[in-house]
Amino acid sequence: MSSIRMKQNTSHTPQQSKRLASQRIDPACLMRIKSLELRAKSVVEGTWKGLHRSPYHGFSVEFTEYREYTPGDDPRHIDWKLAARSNQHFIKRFEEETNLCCHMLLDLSTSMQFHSLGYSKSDYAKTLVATFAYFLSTQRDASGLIIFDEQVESVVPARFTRGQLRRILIELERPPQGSHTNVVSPLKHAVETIKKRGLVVLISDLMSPLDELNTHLGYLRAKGHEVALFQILDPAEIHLNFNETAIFEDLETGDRIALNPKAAQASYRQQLNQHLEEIQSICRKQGVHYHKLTTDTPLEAGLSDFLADRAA
Amino acid sequence: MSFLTPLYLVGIIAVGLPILLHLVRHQPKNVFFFSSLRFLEHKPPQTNRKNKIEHWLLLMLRAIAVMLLVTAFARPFFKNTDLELASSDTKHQTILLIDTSSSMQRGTLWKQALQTADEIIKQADENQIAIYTFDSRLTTVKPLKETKQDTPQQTQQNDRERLTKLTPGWNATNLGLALTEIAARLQQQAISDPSGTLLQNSTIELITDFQAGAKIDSLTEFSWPAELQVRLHQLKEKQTSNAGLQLLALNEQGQATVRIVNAADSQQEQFQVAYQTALSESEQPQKIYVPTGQSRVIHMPAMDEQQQATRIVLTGDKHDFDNSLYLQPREQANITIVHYGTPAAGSTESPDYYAKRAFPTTPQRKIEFLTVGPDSPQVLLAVAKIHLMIVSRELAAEETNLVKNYLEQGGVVLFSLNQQQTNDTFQLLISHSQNNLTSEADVNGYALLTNIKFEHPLFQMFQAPEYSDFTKLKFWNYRRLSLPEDVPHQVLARFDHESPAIVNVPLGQGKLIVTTFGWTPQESQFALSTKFVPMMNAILALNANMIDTPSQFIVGETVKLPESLKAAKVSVPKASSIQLAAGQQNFEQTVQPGLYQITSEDKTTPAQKFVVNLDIEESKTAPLAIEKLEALGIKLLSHSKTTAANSTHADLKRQALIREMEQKQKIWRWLIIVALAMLGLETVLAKWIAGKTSATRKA
Repeated sequence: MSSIRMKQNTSHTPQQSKRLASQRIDPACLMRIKSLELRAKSVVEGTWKGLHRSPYHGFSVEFTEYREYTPGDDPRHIDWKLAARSNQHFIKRFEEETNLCCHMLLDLSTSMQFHSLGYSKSDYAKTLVATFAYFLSTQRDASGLIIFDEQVESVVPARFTRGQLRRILIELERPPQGSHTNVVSPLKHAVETIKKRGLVVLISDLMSPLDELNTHLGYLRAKGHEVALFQILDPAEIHLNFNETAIFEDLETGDRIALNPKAAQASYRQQLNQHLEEIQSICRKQGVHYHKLTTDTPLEAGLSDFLADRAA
Repeated sequence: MSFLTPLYLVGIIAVGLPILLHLVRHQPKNVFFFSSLRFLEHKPPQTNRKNKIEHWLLLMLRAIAVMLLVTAFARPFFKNTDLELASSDTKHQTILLIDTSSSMQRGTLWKQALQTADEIIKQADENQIAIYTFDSRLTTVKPLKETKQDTPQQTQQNDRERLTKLTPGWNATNLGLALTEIAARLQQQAISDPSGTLLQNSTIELITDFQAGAKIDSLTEFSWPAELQVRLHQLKEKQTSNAGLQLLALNEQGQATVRIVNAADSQQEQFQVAYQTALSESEQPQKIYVPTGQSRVIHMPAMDEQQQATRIVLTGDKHDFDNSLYLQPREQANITIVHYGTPAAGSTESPDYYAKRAFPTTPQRKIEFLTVGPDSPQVLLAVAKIHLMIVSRELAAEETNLVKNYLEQGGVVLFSLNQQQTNDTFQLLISHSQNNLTSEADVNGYALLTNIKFEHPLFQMFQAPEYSDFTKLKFWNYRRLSLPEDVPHQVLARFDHESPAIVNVPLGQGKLIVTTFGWTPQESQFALSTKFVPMMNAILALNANMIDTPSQFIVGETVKLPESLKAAKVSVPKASSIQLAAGQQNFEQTVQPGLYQITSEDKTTPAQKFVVNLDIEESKTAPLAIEKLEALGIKLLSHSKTTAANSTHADLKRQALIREMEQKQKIWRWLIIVALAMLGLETVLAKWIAGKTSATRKA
């Protein structure tokens, strides 16, 4: 059933797209809502609800199909009543089969504190995480959270219990601790701790060096995880459209340079694009869904792109 | 130009501030926190304009203002010649002030004094040295600023030679006088010294035993200059016991009353006192107990008439210099008074009756009163022996000549124009041809004395208000005297009708005192008044020969000699006699104790004797506390302070001079004003430039 819905979703008409676009919430307005949960609800309850597929088939009140038992299937799923009637072993496939286990790796390093629109990248990212969590909870999917900066700061193991969303939201409310970004340590952690195949979503600005990113993404993929990478960037980071000459201070290292942005713009963009391309190339290479989100992009757009990408 | 506080000139660095501000004005002020600088190349703001100064004039004004302010803080001033003199004349001046009073004769004190002086001369090196000694007066041995151009070695040698010639004398110590005089001389010198550092560079090296008898009272009235410092070298004697003698009284019988003073640091309290004659040693010493620091008065027994004692000698103490007290009993003067009057034995109506009684014989004088009546034989006395002539009757021609002669030779004549007198005698006396110089006055009731010349010796004793009341002295009748102008005269008193009452007519070398009234009770109350005897004796004292010469003096005192002594010679103890100059009135060489004798060339004049003794203050040999000097405002210098300290002191003074000069010139005020003007100009200019720029931008 889900696959049907997915198909429906992924192939929405231009009218639908237009409607969806009009329903999207401007991130600036969204960020004015203090409660993360409300933000997530606002995003999710707009359009997207229960629209994803899971690599697992779970149990549901309504089953969707039977199939013949083949060795290797879980005997628990054999419909014994049918077997008694027909003396054949069929495996039930239920309607609610979307028990997805999603781990979100959120970067809350100081570089994520940067903002040029009144809210920071971390605010945006937190909202994104909350949206995912809420969305997953509504789908009865398990969600977990790993917050990191230079190291893993806090871990909420993936579950689909009632209070899971609350726990994730509480973790998200915590003030950030560290300074540097080190993507490697959460990836390592994920590789080591996530036993069940699932979805691993890495949310970061990825402004740090990419030395070992490829390797560790590879590990994750090798373990069978589906990996999505959301790179959160501020529009000012992309364009460097500052007007006045100023001293620029690195949020992570504290280094300062006096800079004329106009003069430095071209070179900066070039280097940044190179960096982004590098990330994209890594992602392509490892089969990672890469999504670049600027903080002025409505979250729904990001989500829809992600879902569309997954469905593809 | 020099600076009072040149360290402030370091602030000139501040001139870099406006330049820096001009240069760094393009530096960004805003700080942007950016997520990562990884992709940012270090491209600092455009540097082509950074080092370019746009507003040179503004910069210049600001820089000048800063420089002016800094210079003002450094307090500039222009040096003048005074300062150059002050800096060049940094030589130190040492004034050696050596005590040569008689107390310095004790033990080794003088030796110590010479040693100390010698050391000071050695240490003084190139310092200028002036040498003074003091006792009761200040004596210059080597004056301040002696202009001899000798080498330092020669100067030192000369100074030492001068010292060896010095010896302590017999005078009392007047330390206060010596110090004030030296200070006054230095101050006088400092006035002529434009740098004003002379006082600061002078040190008085005071070498003294600083004994209790040293008079320092005069310092209380003297404002000691704050810059002048004194280094006290207080000499000490091991043998401290000392007592001295002072003569309080000596009666006609030769009985002396003596005070014995024992020094405060004396260790002995038992002494003996005895007369000592020229012929024999002391006889029958009288024992006396005097506690330390106290004095006792004793009455000596009468001297033996046969052997006139010349001195009293004290024994029992350790120092002899003040142990002799010379005596000279005063001799009774023989005074002859001649009265040309009418002798009337026991008659209270006669002027002679009162005149005779006005001159009683006293222990000091023996009066010989001769009354010469009209019929009496001529007086055969030498004119020199008559001390006063009184004329109260008409004189015969010979008598008039005699009186005139007496007046010519400096005699004093009291001429009373009483009832018995006629105009003729007076006319003859003043040698004036004009008749009717005198006439009987009409007195309605009585006349009183007015216009009294109290400053004249005749009335001096009545000057005090309690004695100056002459209203009880009434005159029943008197003679009008109209002296012509060509006769020099002085009216000493007038009657209330303005007619002269007492007139002084100088005649020759003598004085003719004319009273226009008689003193008998028939004519006035004068003879019965309290004024009569003092006035008569005052007239007697007008005679120059009557100067009462005392016979006891203190060393250093001036002896006033009688006028009659002509070409006299004074024999001095232990020295050759001194010949007095003609007309010399004062004898000042009373330099040592002993018997002095004045002998006149005139054999008829008897030799006068007087003795000179030590000041009793010199016997108070206990040392004074140094604090006494400090309390009187003297700046005492400790012995440890070297010449280096002195030079520091001089530097400080020079600094003070510089400060004073800077305060007078006050250049800093002008600099501040100019700096403010610069800043004002800068403000106006900056505003104008800003306005111009914004206008350009708008356009």
